[in-house]
Amino acid sequence: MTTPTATVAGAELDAYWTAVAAGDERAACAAAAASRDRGVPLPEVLADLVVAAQRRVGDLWAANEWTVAREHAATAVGLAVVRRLGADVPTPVSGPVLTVACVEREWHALPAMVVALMLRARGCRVTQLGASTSRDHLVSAILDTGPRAVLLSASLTSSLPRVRRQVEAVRGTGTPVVLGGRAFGNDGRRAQRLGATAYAGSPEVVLEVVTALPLHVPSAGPLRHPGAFEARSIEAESDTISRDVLLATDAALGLGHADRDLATDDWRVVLATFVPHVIDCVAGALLTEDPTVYAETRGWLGGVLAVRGAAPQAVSVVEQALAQRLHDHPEAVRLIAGA
Amino acid sequence: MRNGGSNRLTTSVRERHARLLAESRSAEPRARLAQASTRAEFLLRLSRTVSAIQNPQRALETLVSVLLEDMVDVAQVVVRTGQWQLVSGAVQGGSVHNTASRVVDGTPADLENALRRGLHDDVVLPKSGAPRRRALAAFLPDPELAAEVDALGCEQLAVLPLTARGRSFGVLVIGRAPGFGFGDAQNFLDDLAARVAVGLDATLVVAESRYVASVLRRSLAPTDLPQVPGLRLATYYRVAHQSQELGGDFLDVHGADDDLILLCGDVAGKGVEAAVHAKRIRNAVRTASHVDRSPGWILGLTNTVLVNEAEEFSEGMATGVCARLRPDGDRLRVDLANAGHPPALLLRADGTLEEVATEGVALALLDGVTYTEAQVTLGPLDSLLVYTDGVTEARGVDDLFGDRRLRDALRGFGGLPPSALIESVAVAVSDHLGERAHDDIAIFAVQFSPEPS
Repeated sequence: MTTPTATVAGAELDAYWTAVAAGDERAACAAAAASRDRGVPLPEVLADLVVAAQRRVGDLWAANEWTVAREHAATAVGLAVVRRLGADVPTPVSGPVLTVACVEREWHALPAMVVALMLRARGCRVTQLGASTSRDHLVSAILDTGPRAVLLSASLTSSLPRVRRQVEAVRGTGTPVVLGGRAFGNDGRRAQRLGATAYAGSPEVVLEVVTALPLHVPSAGPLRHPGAFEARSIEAESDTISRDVLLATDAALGLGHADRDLATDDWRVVLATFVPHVIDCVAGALLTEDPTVYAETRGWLGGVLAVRGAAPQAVSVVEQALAQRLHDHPEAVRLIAGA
Repeated sequence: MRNGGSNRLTTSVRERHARLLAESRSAEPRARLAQASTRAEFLLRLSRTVSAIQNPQRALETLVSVLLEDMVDVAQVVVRTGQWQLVSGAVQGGSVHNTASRVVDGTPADLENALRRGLHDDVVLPKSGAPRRRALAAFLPDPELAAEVDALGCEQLAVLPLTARGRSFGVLVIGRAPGFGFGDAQNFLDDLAARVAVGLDATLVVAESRYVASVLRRSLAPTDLPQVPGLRLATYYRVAHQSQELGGDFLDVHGADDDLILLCGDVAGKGVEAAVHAKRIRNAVRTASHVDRSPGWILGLTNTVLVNEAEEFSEGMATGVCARLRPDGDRLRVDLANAGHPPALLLRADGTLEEVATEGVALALLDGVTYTEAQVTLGPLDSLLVYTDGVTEARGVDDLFGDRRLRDALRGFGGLPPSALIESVAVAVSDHLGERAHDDIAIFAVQFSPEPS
């Protein structure tokens, strides 16, 4: 027999969101604490208040309603709330040892923190390595703590090539690796193509997934399909590709690259920031043999630029410049043309 | 002959075991050849698997599980490293028992002897009663494991020494279900133990040196920042690749809540030497601050200590910023001295960015240096940001990160929590670096955020 559990109340949702929007850490912690005090289970407070608000924050930035700085401030509030909720969760002394990390250059730390806290609350000994964990750091942590499994989180599809490199690093130590996060889409296909031991579709299922893992795994064999070969070559020179594409885009749109005193939220700055991501998405789509990786990003960037008043042809200009720059990568050219 | 114990085993496990351990003496040549090749493949896979896992406890656990999958019904491995004894063991179908204990804590005498003698031994177990339990306890220190082996009905244990570099450092104990022994497999088992020993020995050597590095690493940056009422602290710390995770940047914060000393420094070089040098500087600063808490005086004394005690390995210079933080009502008083370090930045709540103007000679270069102090006052939600040159000198595709990009990363961040400032800088530096290697990077931010009265 289960007793009905309390759920997050509408007033708490409003209070929490008001606090996040105001960057008010204390008020946000108070709203979350109020839910907990009424007996709302930790996973629900995390999902319905913290994670839901964070998604809204991202959407508001994308819609150009919030500045980057405001987004950072709201995100800092979310992280502080998770830390505060975590302070009341005892640290287990036995239970499976797990490592939770964000992939290199992945700065969305909140989902990984939420997963880590939920696992800790369910009796796992969790080491958190935080945002943008380098391969070296990850492997060191594995050698030092000997985890039962490594859980890697990625929110951006542009992280997929780095996910692959980290999967290789983790599996090289014989350790099972579980992937999770928005970068992997709605099913486990991308994760599986990247060599994951398992895929966790939501924070709630992670423990179940971990329990079913093999004790040790063989190292990840090389990906040999033509797209994988091209992806490696693109990643190896992504800096210069991105510089060339930006220069070509600037020239085509008449932007004047030297003008650096633009606000961080100007569409030209956003464009320049996201060109490297687009290139990583091409590599990610080729590695996972999943063209939607690229198509989704293209659509997303188009929307983000449009609401910031970009020239309507901006994304196709970037795309043409990219296709031209990658002309000796037939798989990449086909991918871009197909989008 | 089969009894309850072996009935638990699936046919496939039994068949796998038979492939490796069936009697081969009387078999026809082709079968013997097939077995030899199966054994060679197994040994290769076993040593690969065990060697890949460079965490000692995990390596033992994995060794046990591979042996149970493919070869035996009882497996226990014991190794000694430094003052520690690690044990991992299980029976077919059971869970793995892991223990780590001090060597002195009563190892059974027979196991101790096997460890010392380093000789292969076959132990025939008494059929029942107290003698059987005693014999099991003599080799299986974990009572639960001993009870499971007893229940399995195991008749014989093979005790294999693990020897590498001329010393015996562990023992592998294996057994099979009743009715199955090791027959003429002694050479194969010795070969197996030798391979396992080489892999585990390497893992233990790595673990020992990693332990030394981890002790040193703890002296470079605080793992947990103190909770100080009215102050929010945040740090970012990344060590350059290829330096045993021991960099030359260091952070420290100590003192009472109403009179805090903050230190951010950078010693020349990396690795063990740099970590030891950094630790000396941190200690000198901590000691000096017990006598006088003025940052200029602290850095002056630290410099004198370093110049006078320079040893060959620590001759490298160091830079650093030392700040004293004293909340005073709705203001935070900051006294700050700088020894050749990038200037501290003050980000006002309204977004104005100021450099804290004070400079001095780097540490450990000249004797008798004095350091002048700058005094600044922080209002509510103003932040102080101290960083090492790994930030501004991060190499991009065309140029270094530089002061300008640092300022850009902080634009619009006035009044935001220090973790947000640091993240913005860290993201910008990381985007600028791309996949290029970087030097050590340390950032320390403090925000004055008095409790509303």
